[in-house]
Amino acid sequence: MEENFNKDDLLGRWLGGSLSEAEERELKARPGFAEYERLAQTAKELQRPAYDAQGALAELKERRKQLGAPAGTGEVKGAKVLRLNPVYWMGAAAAVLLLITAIFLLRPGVDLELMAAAGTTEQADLPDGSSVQLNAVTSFAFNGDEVERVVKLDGEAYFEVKKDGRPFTVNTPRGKVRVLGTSFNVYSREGVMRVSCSTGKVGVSFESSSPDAGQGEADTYTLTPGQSVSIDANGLVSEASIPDNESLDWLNGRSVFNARPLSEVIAELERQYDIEIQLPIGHDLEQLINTGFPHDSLDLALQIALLPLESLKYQRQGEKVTLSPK
Amino acid sequence: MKEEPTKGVCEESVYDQTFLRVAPLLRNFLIYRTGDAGKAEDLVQDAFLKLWDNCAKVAPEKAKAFVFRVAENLFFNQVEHAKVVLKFNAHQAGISEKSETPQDLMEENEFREKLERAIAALPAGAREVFLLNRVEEMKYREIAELLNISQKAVEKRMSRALLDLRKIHKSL
Repeated sequence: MEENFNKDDLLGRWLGGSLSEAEERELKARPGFAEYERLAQTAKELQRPAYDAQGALAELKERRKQLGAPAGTGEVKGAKVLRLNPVYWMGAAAAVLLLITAIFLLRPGVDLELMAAAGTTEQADLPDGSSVQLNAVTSFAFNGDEVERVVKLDGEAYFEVKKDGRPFTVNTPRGKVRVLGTSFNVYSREGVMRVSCSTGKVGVSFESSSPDAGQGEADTYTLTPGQSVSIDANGLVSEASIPDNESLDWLNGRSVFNARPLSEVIAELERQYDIEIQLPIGHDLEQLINTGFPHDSLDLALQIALLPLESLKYQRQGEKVTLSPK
Repeated sequence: MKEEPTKGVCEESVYDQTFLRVAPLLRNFLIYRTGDAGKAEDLVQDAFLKLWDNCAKVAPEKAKAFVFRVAENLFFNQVEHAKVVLKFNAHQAGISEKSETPQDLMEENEFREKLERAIAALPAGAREVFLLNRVEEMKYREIAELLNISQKAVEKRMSRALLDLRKIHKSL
């Protein structure tokens, strides 16, 4: 099918507007044309990066003055003004930030301790060859000895565990995850724990939800790829098949919510963007909504995430976002 | 305006006008080619310094072609930027259409992000032609003139760009 388009330059002439009607009909009938159309159309909507021409002109005149070149002398070699590339600055800033947010503390019984602050994610290789990625606002500690590998987690993390004979356990306030070698996501916040399996097998057991439910081993759930199990703040356990694109949403720079309470959406927005969101007093935070948002543009995220809440509008002042009735 | 020999590029006002008119396009073109905004803006400055040096020899209507040629020569010897970074402004999703769901908008957003990455991965020749046409809204004839290539070549590069974009976009 690709060769259909490779053979000629109809595609190029199409966007140049030089196709005859017959050619245009032929092109549009080809399979895959819709994709080219969408690509071409979307590219048209790209906005050029902003450029301050006036500012650049002022800078240019400054340089001309420094070079002292009279107009039309024709021989000055453009002595280059050294400018610190902003990318380097950002790199340096990021490195400092990493130092601050990823605090490696060596304490007895803890091989590695890591924290991801609001608005950041962290990635680390563990001493056993496994790796972990932390979502915003997450604390993590790893310890390994001869018989086991143990993680303490509060927040959300994605694990890729290397098999080495020792079990790998993730402890959260709500329960534990036990694996040998596999990849999985653990979400553990505010009484909610959710574990999703990407590859291999994952064993999950929750702390008994009520004190009188007796002690001892709670039910153990075994997850295979695509499956997830969760316990909510009331101790209600539910198993589901959640596609990776929802459970691993944050690894792809976005958050997806299917029938999740509004409170969770708001909290995730706050964590991803390090903002504070104020809702109208008495607004139902438990209502379940389907929504999502990208992690790279706050205003876009707010616009998209709040779409289902038709009765609310938002106002943003720096890091403070206020939702109010329309 | 009969005989005013001083109304050339050496005249500050003419020079300024030329800069404000030509520099934005030149700079975008250089970004499209080099994939490096910082370098592009430096090159714009260098090219216009050259124009100032040569203002007596360059007629105002030739100034645009002059700075484009100088800028091209300036970066011709430089190695192409290892990693092409094209940053477009975050597109403000039009929320006007009521029928759009968050999922739709996210999907659109992702489609666009992938497109931006795919564009960055294009060969320089196809990329610059594609962006000059799509983003700068230049006609093939204008692009051909600017790059000193034939219109046929522009068509070919556009075809190449679309074919590659679809392939790369799919693989992302």
